[in-house]
Amino acid sequence: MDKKELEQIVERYNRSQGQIIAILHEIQDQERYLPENDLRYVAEKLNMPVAQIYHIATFYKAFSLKPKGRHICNVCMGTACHVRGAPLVLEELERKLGIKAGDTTPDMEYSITTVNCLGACALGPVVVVGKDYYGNMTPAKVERMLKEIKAKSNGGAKTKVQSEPDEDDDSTGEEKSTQEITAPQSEVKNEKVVEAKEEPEPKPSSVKKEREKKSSKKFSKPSSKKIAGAKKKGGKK
Amino acid sequence: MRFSSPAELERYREKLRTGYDPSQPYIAICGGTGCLALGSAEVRQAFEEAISKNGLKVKVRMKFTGCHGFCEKGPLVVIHPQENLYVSVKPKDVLEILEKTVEQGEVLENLLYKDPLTKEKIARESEVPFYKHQKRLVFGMNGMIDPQSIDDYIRIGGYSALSKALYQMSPEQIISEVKKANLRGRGGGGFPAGVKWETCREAHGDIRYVIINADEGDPGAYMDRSLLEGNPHSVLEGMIIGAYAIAYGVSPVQGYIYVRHEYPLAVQYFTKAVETARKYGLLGKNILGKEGFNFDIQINQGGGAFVCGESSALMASLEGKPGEPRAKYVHTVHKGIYNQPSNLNNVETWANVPLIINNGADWYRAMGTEGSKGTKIFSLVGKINNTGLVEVPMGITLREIVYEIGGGIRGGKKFKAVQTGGPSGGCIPESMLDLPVDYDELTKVGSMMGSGGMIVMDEDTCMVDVARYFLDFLKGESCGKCTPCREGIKQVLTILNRICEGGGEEKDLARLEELGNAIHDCALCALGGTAANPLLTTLKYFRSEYETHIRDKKCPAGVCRALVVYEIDAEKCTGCMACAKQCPQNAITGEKKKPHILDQSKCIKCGICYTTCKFDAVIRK
Amino acid sequence: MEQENKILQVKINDKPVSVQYGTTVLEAAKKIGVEIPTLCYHPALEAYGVCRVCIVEMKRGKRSRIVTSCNYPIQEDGLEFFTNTERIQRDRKIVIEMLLARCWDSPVIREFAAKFGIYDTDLEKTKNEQCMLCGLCVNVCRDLIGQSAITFESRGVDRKTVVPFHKPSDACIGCGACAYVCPTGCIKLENLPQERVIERWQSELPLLTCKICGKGFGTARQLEILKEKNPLTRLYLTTCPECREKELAEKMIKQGGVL
Repeated sequence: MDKKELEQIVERYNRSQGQIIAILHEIQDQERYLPENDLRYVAEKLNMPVAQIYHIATFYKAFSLKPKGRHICNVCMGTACHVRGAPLVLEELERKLGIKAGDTTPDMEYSITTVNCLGACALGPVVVVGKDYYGNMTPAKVERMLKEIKAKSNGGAKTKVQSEPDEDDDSTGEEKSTQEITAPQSEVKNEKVVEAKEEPEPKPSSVKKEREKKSSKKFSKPSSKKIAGAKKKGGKK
Repeated sequence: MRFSSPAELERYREKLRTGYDPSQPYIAICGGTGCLALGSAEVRQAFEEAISKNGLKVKVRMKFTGCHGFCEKGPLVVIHPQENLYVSVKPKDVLEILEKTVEQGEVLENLLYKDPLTKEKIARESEVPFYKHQKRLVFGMNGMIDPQSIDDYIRIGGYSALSKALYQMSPEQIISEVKKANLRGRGGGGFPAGVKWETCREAHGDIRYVIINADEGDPGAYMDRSLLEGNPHSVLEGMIIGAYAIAYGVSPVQGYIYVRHEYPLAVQYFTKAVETARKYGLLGKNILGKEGFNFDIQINQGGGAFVCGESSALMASLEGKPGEPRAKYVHTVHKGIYNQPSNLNNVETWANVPLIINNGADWYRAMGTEGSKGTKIFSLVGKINNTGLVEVPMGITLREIVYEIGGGIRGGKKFKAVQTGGPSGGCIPESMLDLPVDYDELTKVGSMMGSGGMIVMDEDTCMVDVARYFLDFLKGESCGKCTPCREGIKQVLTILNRICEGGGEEKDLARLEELGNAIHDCALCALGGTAANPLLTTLKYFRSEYETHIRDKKCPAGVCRALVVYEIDAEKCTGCMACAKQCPQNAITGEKKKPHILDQSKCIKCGICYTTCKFDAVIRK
Repeated sequence: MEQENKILQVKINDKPVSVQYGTTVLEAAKKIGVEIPTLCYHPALEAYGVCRVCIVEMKRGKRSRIVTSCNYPIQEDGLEFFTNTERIQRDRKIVIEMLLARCWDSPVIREFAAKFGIYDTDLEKTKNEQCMLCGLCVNVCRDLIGQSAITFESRGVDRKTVVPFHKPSDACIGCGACAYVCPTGCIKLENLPQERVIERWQSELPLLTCKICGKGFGTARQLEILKEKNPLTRLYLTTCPECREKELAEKMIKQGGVL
């Protein structure tokens, strides 16, 4: 990042050392990692020893001193996902991409990271890539998930794929949404459930407002105000 | 619009209430993480499009709310005023919902919750067993408000507790009330909040700090997230009352909230709550017109460190240092951030405060057990049918939670254990299911209440693997400062891994206990201090599983892959090819109608063939 | 504050001792000649309390608790501390075993463990590690010298003492305080004719040479900083300690015993 931008970020946080984490998040969101020069410059601006900023950058797992791949596959390793088989999913992903969790493929396309609980336990095991949630994952579905990621990033047609919980989940006899899925029965596809926020959209800054405008996701401002212009008689409040 | 007196606030509230017709149809769409992941944003979009395209014959209100709790059945939609709950709603259901239910009050049978045992379809949300057995005091309003609207919060009674606290009570009276109510820390420690507030007020310092701990790191626990995303003002109001009680008349006071980085939506909604509260004069100078009560709050994020949920580590992080804990021989309530008196409480603890102030300590004490009052929100996850967030009165038994609310074990399997307290907690076996949910009762059996994660485990869960899982988690989260945590956890994990891979020895169990006890005694902070709990409780209640791993080199639950062998029984195999198709390693070969062959050299023991086969032809040894 | 001047009465191994409010158990023990083993403690620095070797058992009424004596401040009357109970012996032994497994290649740690009868361990041993992560080097550089040239990186089992970005640091003045306080001697400081080298931090700093004997006696940077913080005479800045002493002694003799 150029020095002017860095300075602006630091100013926005009132040059407060206490906000170092927020400052580093902003840099990493833009650069996909924390460049050494940026860290040294920020340390200078904050009157913080380089040693301290270095420890902070290496202490917190959200930060990386090495560039991350374009697609970061975040595998949830929370307890609920674990008892439902997340380690097997992670292993398969590592096998398919040829890298271990924490690393990036040589072509800088994919990184694998693990995270402890995303709060989507009903869908476990879960892998999040960007804003897309891949739920009810099994090792068998990993390859399909990777194909979808590739297709999406190549600007492929939006594959609105559905997912079904694994068949053994059905044995309670409850009606599951599998009944309503229109996909051919022999195939088990992955659902790409779009959640607006696991990645950096909302930030407490003016940069955030700009980004939200660019986002095409309808969810970015969930409130009842949206229906104000509706045709129905009277407003909705 | 700044309220400079309770009267102004009440006038505004009255105005909001008269403008709100409760008989008017209201569509509540759950926007909690679970439902979002299942597609509720698309459902909402469908509603919006349908309404704007076709219009409606009636005036209707619609809100994208916070988490309703029944995550298993999302996307959830509730139609008021009849309180009609629809589960697993899809965008294609929306038109019918609008035409039949909203406009005509007709119930759509196919969208109703169906009780798996009685097969009964239930229309009213409060009659669904999942909800019926809960006591949703803190969580209950999630479905009725737009989390981004301070007006919604005020309309349902928000900030009336603050009014009462500032104008009808003294700081000392507030502390006394919270002490009497015996509100104990909901983050896991269970320390009496009122006592903490009192100590903080009486400590020596030039400024006091009041903090919301929203670092919620226990894997499988997402209660705090849902509170911040569903009803952020309830937490904020509690904190403002706390700040008043702790500092008014004593010193200036500054607030912080420390939110996990993985919760950007919570940060967004809470920021909005803070901004609107400021606008309304509920934060900043002379709050609600109370002369000299100045308080504001700064929002800080985490960087991916579980240890930052520990109070001294959190405070170090707030100061711009690495989140390393320090010895707490001098409590942070005396010397915390920048060595000043600092009062830290969990999100859920703060959310309880307005209820106590409004309804009184006696009301609060009427719920719960002798030592644990009020309610607690749990995230009920794992091998349970009804995954979700539940709020129950203290004293309810674990059995009730697992079976009546949770609907029992998924897939008809056998219950094995329930894990509470996250990585600091322990596993509770079936024999203790009648234990009441109570801070001290849970601690007595070696576990703890923790922040509320309740992971249900069944016959297919290996308890040695569970111990290994938690220790592996802690190994990655240890700050590394002190010997017993950094080296001890690593050594325990080495032994556990060896056991799970078939290299267990007789002397291992005693050694594990010895190491566990030393880690417990000597660690610098609570992360290390409680790290041995998952190990020691599984050793205590599931020792036979460890012994089977060590002596027989077998994993009874079939989880530890080095100790499990899958084989195809040629006599039972029908040659349907189902398993072969599912095998991620293509280790199964065979033709249609001919018995298949499993190549052991390729087998990764994932167990997919075992669960796929409908003829019991895959054997697990 | 009044209470900070209070005198408190406590017992260590059943021996009574009076201490001022806030005195640590270690200090109190020293007062009455009770020895408690330590590793990461250094009198010049604030106790970091990480090695956990100095643990003692504290009894207050019926309750018992393990605390580190180096940084436990005595704040009430009637506390009783025990430095060698069975529980302490058990726990301390395990802690030392853990350190030994980590620093198996450190003669200093082996010698220390031997004092407690620990010569080996069945715990998994790390190879080529002599640093016990006591933090003395990092803390002395930051708190006493004020340079913050070195730091910890990462966390957990990956925690290491390093120079930031693994590159030579501008902040290092080559004073050698880190090497001096290191209990295991894993920070090697070498004085070459013209340079001081601290390999662990990739520090190579030019030495000032004594105008009398020609020996290198301090890095230029180090003396610069000292000069900023203290009024130093020319003699200090140009001669090595031995020659300086000789010079001062001669001066004194010349001036009849007065400087």
